[in-house]
Amino acid sequence: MTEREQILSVENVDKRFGEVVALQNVNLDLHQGEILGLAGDNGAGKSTLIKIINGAIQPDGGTILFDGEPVDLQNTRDAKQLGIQTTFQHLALAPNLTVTENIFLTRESVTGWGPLGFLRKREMRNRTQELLDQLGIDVDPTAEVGNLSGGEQQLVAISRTMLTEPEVIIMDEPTSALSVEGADKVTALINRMQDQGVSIILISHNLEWIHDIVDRVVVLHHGEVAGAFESDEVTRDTLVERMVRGRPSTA
Amino acid sequence: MSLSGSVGTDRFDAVPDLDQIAKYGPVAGLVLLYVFFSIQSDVFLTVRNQVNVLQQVSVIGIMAIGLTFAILAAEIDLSIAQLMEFTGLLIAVLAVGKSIPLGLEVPQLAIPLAILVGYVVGIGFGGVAGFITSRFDVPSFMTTLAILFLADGLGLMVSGNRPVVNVPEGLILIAGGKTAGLPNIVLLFLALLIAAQFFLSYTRFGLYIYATGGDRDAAELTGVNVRRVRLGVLMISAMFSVTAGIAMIGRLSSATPVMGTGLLLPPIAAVILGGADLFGGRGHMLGTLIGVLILGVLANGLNLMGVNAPGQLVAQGVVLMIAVLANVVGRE
Repeated sequence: MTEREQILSVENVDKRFGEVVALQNVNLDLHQGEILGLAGDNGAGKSTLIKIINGAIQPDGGTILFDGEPVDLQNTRDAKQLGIQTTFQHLALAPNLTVTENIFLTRESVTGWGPLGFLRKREMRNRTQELLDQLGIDVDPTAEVGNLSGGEQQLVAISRTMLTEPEVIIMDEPTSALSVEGADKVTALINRMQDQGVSIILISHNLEWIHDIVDRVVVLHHGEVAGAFESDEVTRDTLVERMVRGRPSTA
Repeated sequence: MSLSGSVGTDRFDAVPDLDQIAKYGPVAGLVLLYVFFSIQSDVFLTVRNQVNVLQQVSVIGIMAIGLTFAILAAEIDLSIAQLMEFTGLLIAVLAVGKSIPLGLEVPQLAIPLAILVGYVVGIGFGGVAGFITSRFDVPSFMTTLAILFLADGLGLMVSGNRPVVNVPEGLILIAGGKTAGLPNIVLLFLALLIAAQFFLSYTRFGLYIYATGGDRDAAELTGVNVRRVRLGVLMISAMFSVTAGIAMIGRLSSATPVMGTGLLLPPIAAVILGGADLFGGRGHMLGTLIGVLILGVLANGLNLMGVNAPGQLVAQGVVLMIAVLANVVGRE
């Protein structure tokens, strides 16, 4: 892989929940336009790490650097303002609202102030259509999300993160509940977003998929980094071994 | 590669009939009632009788508008009728000025001031229920039930369990008068209905109400202040109850401590008859209007046919059962 500018760095991050060590001395780099996979078994620390990166929780020690500058993410809003967006396993879509309404929810285009702000519906619909076209998603902006397939709902959830032109998107298990066809669509979308220069952190249990789609993969084991690899230089067997046994002992 | 897929067709293809029933059932039901009663009675379809129907349903209708906000956000307000009664009595007592059994001499207030106090107190009660519901996640079923008892008792206290009479003409005329030949109460109901739907369809808070009712967790994860929505809808519902209290004074030319009796369930029935989802997120004010009219037309038509009150209740029960069935089946 050609050397690209570093956009996000996690340096020596620790996190404990009471007596439980969730993360210990974790380091991770993300480059501009890179897809980085985060692999690990349940309880390895993946969720804790992404929650620290998206500001949902704060680390006990260590530093987060964004564009080379240390940042203090006190909440998810801080992260969003920097350009770090997250899609969750729970898609957080309201099934009774349209695609446009879901994409703009809490970021509505309005005339006026506060809760009485008058919704500029046509403007939002046009902007949604532009966004979907730009991402190559053929979904009607006026369709109710509850009427879409699981794959289409995932596409909507991901495209929602693109509304504010983010620099980093964290995706938690984006294909876990999808059919093969749905997963293919999501994969195509992720590749397209990468082409547009977005940096992506992917969390998935599906090692085969992760291995195929990412540029690099970081394996977590019991809260520690058990290995970081270029995806074309590592086999799936090695990844599985690191996930299960951690970093090989040097003793 | 284009990330295409069929949009919004599968569900309709699978159960077209049931979905259509849920969507158009209320309108079809209302039309059927109109056809039936028009055949049964010559008087039914006259303008005078239709205005009469609207006049009879207006108080229930105004409460149903407020309740629609709560139901859309997946909440319920059981205090509407008693709050209407209490705030109506309070406004009347303040406008008249009288001694109340609490040993207080209530001074006579100007009508706008009496109404303002009524709104502040009524919305305040909605706020208390909404705060407890949203802050401590107590079901609104319970908090508004508490307000129901509270308002019932307070209504009896401020009125001394007696009707408040000699209400100033100005207060009565707000809803009891006529404008351009139409009863003010009907105009008020229809104007509020339109304003409420505009609020729901075109404001940010309206969108948040639908989002919260559709999937509260998703709305919260997206950043919607769900607590504020739950608080807000119960305050809005209370505000409409106060308005219904003022409308009731117009209808009765007085305020009585029993004027809310039996008026809790009809607005709930109307909202459900109008096709709003019992579990939140779906519904609109046009549906609520249709639901209110179904109840009003049914009562009026059966009256004209000479069916007595028990028979009317049975008919209402049957219609409501069908509506609830259509509601749940349509949802599935």
